[in-house]
Amino acid sequence: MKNTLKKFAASVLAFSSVALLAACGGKNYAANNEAIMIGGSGPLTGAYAIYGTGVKYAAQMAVEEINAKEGADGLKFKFEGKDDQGDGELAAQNFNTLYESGMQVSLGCVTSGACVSFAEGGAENEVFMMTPSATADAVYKAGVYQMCFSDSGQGKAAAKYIKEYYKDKKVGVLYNSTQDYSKGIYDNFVKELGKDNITAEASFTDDQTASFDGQVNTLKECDLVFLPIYYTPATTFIRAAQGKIADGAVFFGADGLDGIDGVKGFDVNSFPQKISMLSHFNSASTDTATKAFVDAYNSKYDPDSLNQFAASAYDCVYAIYGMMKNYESKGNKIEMNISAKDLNAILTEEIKTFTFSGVTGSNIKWAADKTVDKSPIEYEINPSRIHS
Amino acid sequence: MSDFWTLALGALALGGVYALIALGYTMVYGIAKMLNFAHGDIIMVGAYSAFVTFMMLGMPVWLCIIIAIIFCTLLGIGIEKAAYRPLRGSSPLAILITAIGVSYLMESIVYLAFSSAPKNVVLFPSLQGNPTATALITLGVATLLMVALVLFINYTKIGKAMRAVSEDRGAAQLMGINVNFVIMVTFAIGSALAAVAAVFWLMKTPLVTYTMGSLPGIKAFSAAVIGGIGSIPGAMIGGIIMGLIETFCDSIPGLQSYTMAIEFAILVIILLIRPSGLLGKTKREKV
Repeated sequence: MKNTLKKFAASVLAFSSVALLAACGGKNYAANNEAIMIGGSGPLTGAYAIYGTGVKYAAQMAVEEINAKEGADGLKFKFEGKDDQGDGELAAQNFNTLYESGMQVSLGCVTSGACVSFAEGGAENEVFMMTPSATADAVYKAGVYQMCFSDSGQGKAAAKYIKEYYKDKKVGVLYNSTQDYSKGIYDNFVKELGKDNITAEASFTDDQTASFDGQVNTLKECDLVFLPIYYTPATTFIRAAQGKIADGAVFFGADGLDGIDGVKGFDVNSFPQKISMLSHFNSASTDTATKAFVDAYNSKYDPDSLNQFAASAYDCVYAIYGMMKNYESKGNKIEMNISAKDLNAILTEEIKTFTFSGVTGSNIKWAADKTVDKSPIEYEINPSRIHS
Repeated sequence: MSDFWTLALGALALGGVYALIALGYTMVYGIAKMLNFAHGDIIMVGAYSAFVTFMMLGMPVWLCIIIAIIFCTLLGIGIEKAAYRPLRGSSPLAILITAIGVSYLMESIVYLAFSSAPKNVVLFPSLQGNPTATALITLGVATLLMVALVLFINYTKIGKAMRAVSEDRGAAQLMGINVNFVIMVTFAIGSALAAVAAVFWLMKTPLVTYTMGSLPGIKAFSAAVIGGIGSIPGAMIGGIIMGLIETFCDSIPGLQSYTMAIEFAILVIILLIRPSGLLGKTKREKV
């Protein structure tokens, strides 16, 4: 009994101190800043470290480039990236630490769940946030601008892409009806493309379904199968489809397919079908800006850490910089020690008319609900596949 | 061959795999009177054994299969000795919870050793895209193994001892049957069949993850219950029924999202009509 009481007292104490910590994010020491401080949080250790590392490097690189370009009298930036391991609680703590140390504008968080926790502090203290990679709809609803497509936006974007580039294909869809991510993309995809334009649909309920024989049979007439599913079940589906779905067909996925080429024993190039995914960045692109970014990144950092997350972070920094330049071009001046709140007021006004071109797309605009409007590209995962 | 027949054959083959796994559940239940919930994870270990020998060490496929079978057999014996034998005679609930613990233990060890990243193990690349051949091989081997098992149980000395222990453990012991040995053999056979099932599972679904055992485990357990737990022919029939329902539902777009629901609903219906399963023995309780 005594023990239980002690435990109870300890948990009450722990709880109240967390609440205290959360409440004391009020003080911001931006007044002493000599450069605009951009803060961000993401997994730098743990299972998702690869995502956060790329974001941190790319943001750092953008800041250095801008500082060099602006020279001594121009705008100056510094970037601070904190580790949250993809965890919401750590992300919320990171917000407080960053805010107190003078953060004036933020890249939010790398992962969705953490980003929502981080955004609570951001919204309360009116900090401008633009995430490179947190895709969940809850993220923009929490007040964070997105440089990446939102989950519901992906379904729409994929449908538009197919309408434009694969008009003559017989389109099929395979989705996981019990997963929010997959179902969300599927619903928006069907809404945009129209039921009549879909030849066949198949669904499943568990990521480790025994076999996809039945589903493959449903989709066998299709020569493009949209796969808004994670890469793990996708490997099973693609194998089961061999000999049933035409060799020249396309397996077109959303961002959940990212990583399929890293599955041991699953050689993407050993399949005759094209495996590709909707993305906004292609590291093999010949576009001048993209090439310059990729070369600069690879010469500075580990090329393995370069992915669409990193490219997107690079664009976030440049977008924030671009909006500030636009504001200054109207005869205004931004001081280095501007408060986060004042900078937020400027940026939220500027973004309404702002158009941005970067390495993840051109003519990028933001809707009033903070989601991004840009054209997706198709990233081919198995360019050197076998052709039969 | 028309799609229908390819699918039907695939369904029978899937049923055969479920039946092989279900035999492990049903034999252990019939003889040791316990539910071995760690049985599904033996399949997972078998698949990881194939991953190590085939993909990491590059051994020939026949050797990998033999190693997987031997490894799983020894693992089954080891688990029985270390976790279940000390609890013999204690409450069924204690044994059940121990089995769940063993299951988590195996999953955690594999997770720590190999991380959670999924792997693809394709043992027979030439069979890819040829579901008919895969199904025929699976069905053939599964049938052969089941016939062999029935002969073994009915006509060998140890098989007779198994039936005796299943009938009345106390009396069997009095007649000089080494009950511990019989139970050990049961676990060995069940685990070896699980290893074979793992090979066929990989032929169909080459995806290897540390949680891959739970789904075939729970489906095969349902198959064993449908057929009447404790009954060997029952496990086979149950497995085939599960395979047919699954493939049938997966082939009809409107039913795909309800495959599992339908499978388990049929389990409930069969249990309502025949509480001890299709071929289960009805026990008469004397009051």
